[in-house]
Amino acid sequence: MSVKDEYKAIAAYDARWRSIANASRLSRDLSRHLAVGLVALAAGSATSCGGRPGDAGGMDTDSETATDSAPNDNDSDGSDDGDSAADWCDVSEVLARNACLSCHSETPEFNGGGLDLVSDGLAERLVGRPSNNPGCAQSVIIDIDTPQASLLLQTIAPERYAPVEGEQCQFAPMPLLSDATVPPEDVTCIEEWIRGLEEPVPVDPPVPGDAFVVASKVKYLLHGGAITNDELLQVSDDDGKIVNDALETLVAEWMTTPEFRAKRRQFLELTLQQDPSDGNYFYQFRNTKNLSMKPFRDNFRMSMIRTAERIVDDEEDFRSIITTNEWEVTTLLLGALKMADNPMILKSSGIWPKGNYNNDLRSLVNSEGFYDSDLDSKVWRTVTLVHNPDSTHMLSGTKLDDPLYLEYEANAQEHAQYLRSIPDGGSVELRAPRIGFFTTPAFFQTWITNDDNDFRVTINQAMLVATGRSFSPGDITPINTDMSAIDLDVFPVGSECHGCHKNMDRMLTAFSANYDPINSRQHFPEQTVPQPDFSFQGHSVPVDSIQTWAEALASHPNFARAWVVKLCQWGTSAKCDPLDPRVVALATDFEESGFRLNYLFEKFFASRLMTDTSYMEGTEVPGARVSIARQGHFCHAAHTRLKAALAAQGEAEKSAANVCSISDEADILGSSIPDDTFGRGESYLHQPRDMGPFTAVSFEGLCSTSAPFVVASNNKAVFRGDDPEQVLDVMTYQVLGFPEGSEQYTTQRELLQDLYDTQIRGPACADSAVFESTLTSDQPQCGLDLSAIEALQNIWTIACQSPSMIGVGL
Amino acid sequence: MKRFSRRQMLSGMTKSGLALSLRSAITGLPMSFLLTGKAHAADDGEPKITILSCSGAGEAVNVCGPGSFAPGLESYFEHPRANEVDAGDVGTVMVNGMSLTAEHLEHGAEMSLGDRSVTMAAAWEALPADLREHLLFFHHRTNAGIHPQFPTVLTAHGGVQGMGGRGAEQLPSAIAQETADILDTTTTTPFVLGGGALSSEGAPLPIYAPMQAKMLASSVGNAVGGPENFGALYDHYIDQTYAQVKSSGTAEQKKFLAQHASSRAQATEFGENLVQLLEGITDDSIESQLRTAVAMAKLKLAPVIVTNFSFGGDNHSDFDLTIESNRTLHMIKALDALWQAAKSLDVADDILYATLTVFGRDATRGAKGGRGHHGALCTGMVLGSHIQGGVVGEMDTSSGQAVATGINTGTGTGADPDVPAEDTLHTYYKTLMLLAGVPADRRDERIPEGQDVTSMI
Repeated sequence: MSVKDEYKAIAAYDARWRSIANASRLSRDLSRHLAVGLVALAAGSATSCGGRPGDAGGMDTDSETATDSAPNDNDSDGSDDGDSAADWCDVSEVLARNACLSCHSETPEFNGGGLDLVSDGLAERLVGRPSNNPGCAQSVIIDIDTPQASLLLQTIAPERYAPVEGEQCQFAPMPLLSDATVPPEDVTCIEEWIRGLEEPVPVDPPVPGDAFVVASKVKYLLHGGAITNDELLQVSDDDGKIVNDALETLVAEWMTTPEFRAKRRQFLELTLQQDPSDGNYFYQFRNTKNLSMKPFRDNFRMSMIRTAERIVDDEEDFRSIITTNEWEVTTLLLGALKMADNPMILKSSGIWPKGNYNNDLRSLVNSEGFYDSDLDSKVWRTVTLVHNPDSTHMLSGTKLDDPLYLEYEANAQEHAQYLRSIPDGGSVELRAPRIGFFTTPAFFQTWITNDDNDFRVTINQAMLVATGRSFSPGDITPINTDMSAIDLDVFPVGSECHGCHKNMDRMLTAFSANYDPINSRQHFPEQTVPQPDFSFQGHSVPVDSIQTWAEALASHPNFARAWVVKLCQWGTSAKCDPLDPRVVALATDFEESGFRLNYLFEKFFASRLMTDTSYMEGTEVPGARVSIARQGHFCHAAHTRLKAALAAQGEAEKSAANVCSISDEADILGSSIPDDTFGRGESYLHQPRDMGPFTAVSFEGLCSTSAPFVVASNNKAVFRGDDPEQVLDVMTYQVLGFPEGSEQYTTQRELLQDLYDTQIRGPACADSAVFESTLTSDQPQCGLDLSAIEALQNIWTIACQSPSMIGVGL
Repeated sequence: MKRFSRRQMLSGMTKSGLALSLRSAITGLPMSFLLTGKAHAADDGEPKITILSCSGAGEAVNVCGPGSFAPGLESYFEHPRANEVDAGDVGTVMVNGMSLTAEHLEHGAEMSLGDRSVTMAAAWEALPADLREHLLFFHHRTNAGIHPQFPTVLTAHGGVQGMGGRGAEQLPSAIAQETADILDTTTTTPFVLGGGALSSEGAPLPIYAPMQAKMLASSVGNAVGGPENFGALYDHYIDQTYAQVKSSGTAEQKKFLAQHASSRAQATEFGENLVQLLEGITDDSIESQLRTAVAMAKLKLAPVIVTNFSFGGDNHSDFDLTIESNRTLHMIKALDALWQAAKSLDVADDILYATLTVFGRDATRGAKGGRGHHGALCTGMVLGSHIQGGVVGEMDTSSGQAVATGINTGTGTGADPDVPAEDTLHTYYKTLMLLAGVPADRRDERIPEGQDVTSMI
């Protein structure tokens, strides 16, 4: 069966299945959603082509002729004769009856290529919007100036509307049913609808944000500290609005600090998905859960993060994270990689026994002390991991009484010493290829595969990390190999499953040729596996190994846009639209910079995606979003600000408390603050952003729990309380973030003074109602009768959970 | 004249106009809807706090529940075999005085569900009769094949409409939006104790495991000088500092400050009571999640509470079905714990319990002994004192494997179905809305395609 036939069969199945599943919805919802929206948008008559189905029967395929012949003059008096144009030429119905909406639904990410043809506001969404297809980025879905150039028309009637782009811009003819075509009269209807559209008036126009709000937000996210008055003046125009160029200068300065490196590390940890939820590498290393194995787990988690940092710091092409075999490693990590070059020893029951050097990582550390889990986990260096499947170095046997295993066991000390001797810049041979972020032990553990899954989860997550996209049944990217890699019994041609598996399963053998699907260790397949392929979302490259597969992934045209979207969501807490022209422009800049990630950080955080705001309710302007400060941001900011507070009190050499881990209780409370997380199959981060009661309690509990550590009379405290005036000065500026010298500072400082005075005033009020009334009284008669330290502890608790600390965007 | 402080207003917020305006701001519901919400309640029964157990792994309820031991279908179902299962890993699970082992999953037993007699895994017999009287199994299809489809399945593939017909919504959030005001719960969005990436109106929801919730509840009001006094100080600070933002800030800024104020007030409201109710919770297991959910229902903390559940999960390589056996027995024990807790806290009549899964598992075992994904046969479990126990839907094996049939909404059987098999997910969800007490007009707006199955009420 040819690839073409394969597509036909998929499409036929898909249409048949969906026509059953969605029959009622297609005829009911669409007319409700689209007709209302489009009629409103197009001033009533725009959705009507003004003709009857039969009128277009003899229509010329030339688009101009077709347009001319569209009977727009019908019912020109607006009367309803019972067979009006609207009865047959409603765009919603056209899309529905041509089976467009089953894939292009309100949730189009899964199998609609990201194109939603159902939701309200179709015209605003599609007019002038560039294609999500990487090869067609120069074209738009609906072009109201030149309707024939609209990709919407070109995909439903390619014979009628010659594509304006070259072969690079390829779409599956729609609907995804090769034997069916959109009837000419329906095509005409859509064209006429497009001709009737006007440039949509933005209903939610972004406006420049307030300089204090924007600069505070950007510094909070990139650095964690409070802005200075000089910085505020530098980025403010005469109206107090943000000046983007000046902000970019500041962003570049903030990016030179260690605080920024810590924040960038957070971003890389999230986006490279190197953090398995349970930290138990049972399938790869049998015994890693114990506390003594923490250095191994930390090394696993950090290896690719440090590698990415080196790539970014060296201003290398960031796509190297996909192809590099020059990893940051420790001796412990090298020992683990060498262990994973040998097979697990199995009992006849199928159990992997522990306590031997093939299976059990812990045995290497504890029994003979070959590796020092402390010292051997500390010295990081760059080592090239040379793939040599024929290497016999540190080769072990498959049974405990195998002479090869006995020799391996006898030489364990020597092996450790050898790995310890590999210098920075050195190399080591490995039988399993170790390339890019997706072959690390941490990635394999985060996305555990098995012999049914056969690396599909690994591959899908690698796609999401690199390109932000997943497999789609409508993907018509040319395929380069036959179907021998696909299990046609499980995914028969014509089934819905085949739509994704035709692309995905052709990639599996790049992995299964090298790794065991049970434990992801080095593996020689029992028989020759089919040649792998890379065909994914508009990018097709013949490949023959995991190395060339990785290179194909690295050259995917959606890489730049995906990473702009990732950074945009991390910074704004909004799911940024990959079709947003500002996202597209930043992606182009990123690409032209040679894919330098630091360049992207600098440009993005000073871009209008970040700095614009909106006063509308339910706005979708990313920069307008106000979110809780999630755990990573909050804990880092609290630490940074306490460090700055120490410096402001002349104690820069002291280490500042980390309020999120200052005690066992703080550990739990800190981990209760919602954080950014990634999920299986998700192209966006999971980002709780709303304040709820438990979130409020997390912040308040953490702040009050940390108060006795942060404010105390001992030397470890950040604020000692012997100079309350100074403490209040520093809290106002360094913790609350109101820049010294500014108008806000003066007001805030006075307010903190009032709060302090009220608390230390005696006698203690009889009850809380009386106390509350004193807060607004001109002549208060009582207070809380607290000591200076106690009062300052409460001031800390207030400052620590103030909206400027626990919120981003205020 | 005594100043009417912001704190005093917040302390009475659950009944006040401010509460409504805050809720309106937070939920996006118009004030008019909030004000008239109670009027919707009557036509379909009393609203319930809904406890939803979710699984993105895909659960094998379909392989141990009704139908899976039906005479004549033996060749379509493979169950754990007690002599193969690793007894050391499963052992015995005590439920309601009955010792359960893998043997109780290998063999079926006839037992009552509501007024029906059904045959299913013998382990279910351990559940008390009054629980089984109200336990319903609902066969349906999710039409999903891979794990990442779970968020889409939760929207019935876009079939659950968002508030006001805007976009799609996940079922737990849709139920919460429809019942929060009627129930007068503290919060208006689902409270997630476990269960993966859930969202409400597109905003992801945080997850608080039981032990975290317990710790947080005990952290309310620990500042020096007492919680009331500290609250006064803090509110005074916020009022003074953010007065300008509240008057001229952006809509997002105002919304954040409103959420912030109401959240603190809500936390004060439930803190101490929740600590007492969670006294016996010592871990984050599914059983603890369900017991915590009941405690939260008692306090009317949230309209919907979400937990995990597991009947084996993603068990492709569960070569002897030890994992499936172990988790299934513990899940049955957890169900019993849920029911006992609900009765003990006197909320058995106030809750609806149901399960949501991305797909079922294959009735037969794969090459490695475990089970693959099966979106054409999922079995939802539904429990509530207002429900007549039994089974909705049937299984059809004519295609060579067991799949869910269509449903006759009048009888609940698969005979003469008016809901095609492919649309049963919408009907399952709409029926859950009915059982949660969502009024008919609101159900029709939220899930236009689905139908109500009324046979079990």
